Amino acid sequence: MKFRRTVGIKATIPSASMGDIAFLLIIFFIVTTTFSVDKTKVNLPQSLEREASVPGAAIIVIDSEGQVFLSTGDHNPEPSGIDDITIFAHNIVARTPQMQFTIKASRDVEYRYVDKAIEQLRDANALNISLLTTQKVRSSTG
Amino acid sequence: MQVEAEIPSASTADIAFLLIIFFMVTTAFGTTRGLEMTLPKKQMAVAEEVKTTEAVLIEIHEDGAISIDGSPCSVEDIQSYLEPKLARNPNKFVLVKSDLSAKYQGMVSVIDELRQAGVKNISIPTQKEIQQWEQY
Repeated sequence: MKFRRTVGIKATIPSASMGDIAFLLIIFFIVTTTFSVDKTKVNLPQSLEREASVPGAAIIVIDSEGQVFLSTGDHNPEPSGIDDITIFAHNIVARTPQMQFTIKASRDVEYRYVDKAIEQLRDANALNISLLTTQKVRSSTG
Repeated sequence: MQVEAEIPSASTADIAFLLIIFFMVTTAFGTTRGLEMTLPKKQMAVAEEVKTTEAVLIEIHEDGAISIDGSPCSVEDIQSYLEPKLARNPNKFVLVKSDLSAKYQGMVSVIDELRQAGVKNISIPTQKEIQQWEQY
């Protein structure tokens, strides 16, 4: 016996909620996005232990040649002399005593440059520093 | 023929996905991570002076070789050397001195090992401080 179809339902993929999902994702990205002001390329040292740096920290870049670039955290680092760090840090600490200073130094640079940078930060009464690193992969052997 | 009144929203999803792609490309997650340290305040430096005989001394030489309390060792040996000392005194001070010509990676590797070993008090004297100590 043949039944007669009474209601014809069109085959469609429901896409009404697509816009809602997309906008939720947009809000997520807007909230989490931080535009990096620092565009300098440095071969960072590796470490297993890593903590998140405070966003907006002042940046001290030391490349493999020992050249220094400084940024207050709101613009791309500009070339400076290593002896300028004290004045640079002093001006920031005078405004924000708890300001964090991120040292972004090349893994191949001689330690004397980092030593000098830390020394000058101490002279400027800086309290919080972060030595920027990349994630070290734990070796399976051993 | 009757035309239904509606707001055209067919392109909304396209616009939204374009924005998502933009944010995905420009977002930088967790790129600024590293080893956090607190520098001593100038007036605290005298008060918290550490007797070098009570502290463990780690030296990084020019060629990247490491020695603990004068004995040569590798970076991997640091944790096992410190374990019994930290068990006796969890607040044990560890002094890290690097040759100025040594590579920066050497210092970071040692600090990383000390953090993993659970050392709370890491002291990294600068060259100026070392020179001051040597005068006394």
